[in-house]
Amino acid sequence: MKLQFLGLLTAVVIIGFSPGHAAPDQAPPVAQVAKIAPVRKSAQVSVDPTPSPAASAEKSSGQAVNRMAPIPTEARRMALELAGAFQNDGFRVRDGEWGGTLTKGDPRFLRLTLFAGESYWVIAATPSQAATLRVTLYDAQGKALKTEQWKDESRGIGSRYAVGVAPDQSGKYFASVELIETSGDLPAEFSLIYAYK
Amino acid sequence: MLTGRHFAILALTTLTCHGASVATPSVPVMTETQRQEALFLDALSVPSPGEVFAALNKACRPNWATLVTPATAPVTTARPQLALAVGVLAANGYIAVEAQDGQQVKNVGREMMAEAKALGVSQSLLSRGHSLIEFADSNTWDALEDELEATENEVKMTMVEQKDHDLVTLTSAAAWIRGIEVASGVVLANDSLQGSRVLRQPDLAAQLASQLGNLPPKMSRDTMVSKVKEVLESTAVLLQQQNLTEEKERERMQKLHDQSASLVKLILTSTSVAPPIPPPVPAPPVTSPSPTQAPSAGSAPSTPTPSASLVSSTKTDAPPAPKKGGGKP
Repeated sequence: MKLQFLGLLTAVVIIGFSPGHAAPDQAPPVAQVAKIAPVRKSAQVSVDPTPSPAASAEKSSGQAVNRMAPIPTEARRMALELAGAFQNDGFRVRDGEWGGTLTKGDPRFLRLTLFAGESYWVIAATPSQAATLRVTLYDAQGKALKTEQWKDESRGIGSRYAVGVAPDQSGKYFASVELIETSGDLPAEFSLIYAYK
Repeated sequence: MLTGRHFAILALTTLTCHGASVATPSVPVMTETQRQEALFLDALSVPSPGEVFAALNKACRPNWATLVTPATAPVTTARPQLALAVGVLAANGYIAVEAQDGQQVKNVGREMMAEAKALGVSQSLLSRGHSLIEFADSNTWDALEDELEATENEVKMTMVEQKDHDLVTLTSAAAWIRGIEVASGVVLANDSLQGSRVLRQPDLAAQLASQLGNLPPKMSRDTMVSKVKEVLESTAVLLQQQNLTEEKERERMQKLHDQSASLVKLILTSTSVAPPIPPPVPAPPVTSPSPTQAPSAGSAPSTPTPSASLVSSTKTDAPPAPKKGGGKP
């Protein structure tokens, strides 16, 4: 009787600890990791690296909506860091963000509503290495405005670019953000915000 | 006498100056397609009321304390109206911040929370409400303005999460219309109509109207939504007019003010069905008011007719807004 019990106990212990019965949330066996690894590698060089929540919302809904992630993207963090410098000069930063992915030679445009008498800084940032952005402001007719420019020349991780303007007229304006340099033609994630005073 | 060296220096100076003044010389003009396809993002393309008021502050210095209105919110179950009310309340919050009226900011914040709760989007807003109170108590006006915008955006974000994209446009449109009402009122109060150029945003009005036109039929048929669209279209037409005489400019401002004010009033008017009011106890003939006499405050209301069962009053915030500086006990 005791021997039978011991045998049953041993069987339970062996079955319980065998890899085949591992809990689903445990780390997968090495073979599974090896299967996953190539997929993850290819995702890193895919055309569309993880877009910002704003970009995802924009794509999924097809409607212009702002989505702010609880944790800001690195691009947004960089843009806000630069905006902090303008805040010290009395500028207020809008809570919204335009985020997404840029490819070289394909500028993207955003409509803005600016007021006469106000001063603005439009700031864009990308965390992609060796990527350089350019931001341009246009009037309602699509003519590029004369702007003050600030660009990150540190050549560290990513780049930042800001343009400042004090429009004479209230109305519709456009901001474009463009990837003008990138390593290996890789797309770059970006975030654009603006501050006003 | 000018030598070749002089010409070279002159040419170089001209080129340098040209490069500094024209910031982006190599950028081509935007094409018509690019202009039409430019993204219109609610969070950046629609100016926040704070931005409108900042511009107004520069053009003419309004007396914000006189523009503060009691925090009122409609009693309604209609989601479009609730979304519109959130927008109006957000704008009212900015006015209270400009007037540095902490108590009023708290009242507005509370009403915004109530509306958000009615919309079912208040889950993540509790901390925002607490922050508003904290900042109002410590008179941190800049932080309050940021917090108001963040609160409004959080309400909109939750609307999007709950597949209520369409409500976001309504909230933005209402906030902007309230801004127009205030700004046009301020401009009209000036003899020289200072600040009228701040309001010249016909494209924004047209864009918002067009977005409302694209709402699903169920929502676009809503009376309130139709009215908002109508006002936006009319605003776009009015703002399009240029080179007006002072008299015509004043007329235009008056029209803008009247139509936006009546719309804001409509948005803040309760529409939900009130509980049945018991018939009044017949009073002695000597003291009873005549049938045509309006009931005075505190008197028993007359028996409601079926149409009168629709409450058409605004729910006023419980504690009245104290004067500036009297927010804290």
